[in-house]
Amino acid sequence: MKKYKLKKEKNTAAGAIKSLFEKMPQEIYSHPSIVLRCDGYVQIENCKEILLYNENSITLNMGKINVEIEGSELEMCSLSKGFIDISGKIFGIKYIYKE
Amino acid sequence: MSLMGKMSAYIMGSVNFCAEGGMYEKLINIMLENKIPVSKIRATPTGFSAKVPSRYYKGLHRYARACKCRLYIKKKTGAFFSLYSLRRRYGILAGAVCFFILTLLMPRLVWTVDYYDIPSLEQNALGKHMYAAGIYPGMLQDNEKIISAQQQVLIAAPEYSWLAFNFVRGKIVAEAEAAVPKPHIIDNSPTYIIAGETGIIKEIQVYEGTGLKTAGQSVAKGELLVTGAQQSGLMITNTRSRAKIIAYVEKSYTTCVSLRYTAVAPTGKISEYKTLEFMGLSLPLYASAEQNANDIVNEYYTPLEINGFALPATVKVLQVAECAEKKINLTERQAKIYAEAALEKALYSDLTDVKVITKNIDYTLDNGVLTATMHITATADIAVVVEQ
Repeated sequence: MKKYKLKKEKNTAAGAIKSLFEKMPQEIYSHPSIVLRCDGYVQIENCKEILLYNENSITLNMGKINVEIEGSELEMCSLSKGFIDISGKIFGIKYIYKE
Repeated sequence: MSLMGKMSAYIMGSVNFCAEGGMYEKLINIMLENKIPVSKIRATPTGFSAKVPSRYYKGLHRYARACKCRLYIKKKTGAFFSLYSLRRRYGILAGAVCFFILTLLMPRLVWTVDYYDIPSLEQNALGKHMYAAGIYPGMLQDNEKIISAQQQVLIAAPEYSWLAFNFVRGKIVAEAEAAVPKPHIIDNSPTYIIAGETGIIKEIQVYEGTGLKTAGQSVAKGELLVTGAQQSGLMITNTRSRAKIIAYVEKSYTTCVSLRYTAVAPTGKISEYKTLEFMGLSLPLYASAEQNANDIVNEYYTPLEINGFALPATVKVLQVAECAEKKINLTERQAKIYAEAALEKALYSDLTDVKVITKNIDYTLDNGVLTATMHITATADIAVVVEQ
């Protein structure tokens, strides 16, 4: 069986400049993520849907897992497709794994 | 949110609504999928409350029905909702349009008339002349008119030697200089002096001419007292005569006062008729003016003011004091006072430099008419200048 040698990428100046203008991988933007701030502010990215919402908890479908945010006076400040800003007194965040 | 964002949100309007019952979480998801810009979602015991731009709220009912939720409005905010209560109030719109037009005309409008270094007593009189010449608050600036008005006012008011009306930032500044009175020019035409009354000369002072009488001499009315004729050699020249001749005179004056008579007197009712003057237009603010021939009429002009703020318009006020014929009944005492005043008036208008020595008044009342006769002895200047 013939063995193929992997070509080594050369570190050239043109390559460095090209890498500057390269598009970031799509996965970076489409990954579900949670940004937490200590002043009671949570930013949710790439949320699929809201499963449950009441004064004390918000349960979100994040794809492979569900996330439950527990707290009080929870308010969804702004909503746009996949992005939710939540503020209020947050007591905890629970990961619920789907079977 | 930026200031511009807040302003645009206020102009577009927003609705704060409540969703209750059913699957309200599903409603949130549907709103997300349909890119409805919902914000401030807050949970309530039976659902949630949220805020959406007003233009999206109508479409929400369709989604709410699918989720079996009930929607109702909590609060509406925005310019449209604030102004909704003012609908069909065309006066406000007309006012705004008028204000806009006024703003366009403002640089050329005369808002007020200022008097520079003119005493307040003279300001009213000058203001009347200016109004007659077409200069008043509310007129449009017209340099030719202002210049011609200066000339008109100068002719109408000879008490001023110089006048200037300057248009400065929406106001006319009036400046005036009082005229120097004409010097009294003595007439040098030949004259002589005769006696105006019969009497005895008390004192004679001849300034010009030749005196023909001395103190202590009696004179008859019309007698020559001072002559201007002067002889130098064969030539006789006539000059001006000037003298002060004080003489003792005796005079009698009679007057009659009726105890009952009819006079035209003010009733106390004063009516004001106002006319708004603006940019050459005249708008009467009354239906009809009632004015009789006997009424006392006073006309004046005042700038239009609202709460002390002067507007570029003038209000012409016609003040009519109603007068009517009134029957007057005098008592005898009142009639005597009137008669004495009439006699004194006759005395002082008849003689000059009068000094009363004795005075006696006789009253006779007959058929409601009081006849008063005054006999006086007085000293007075009896010199009467007659031209040759």
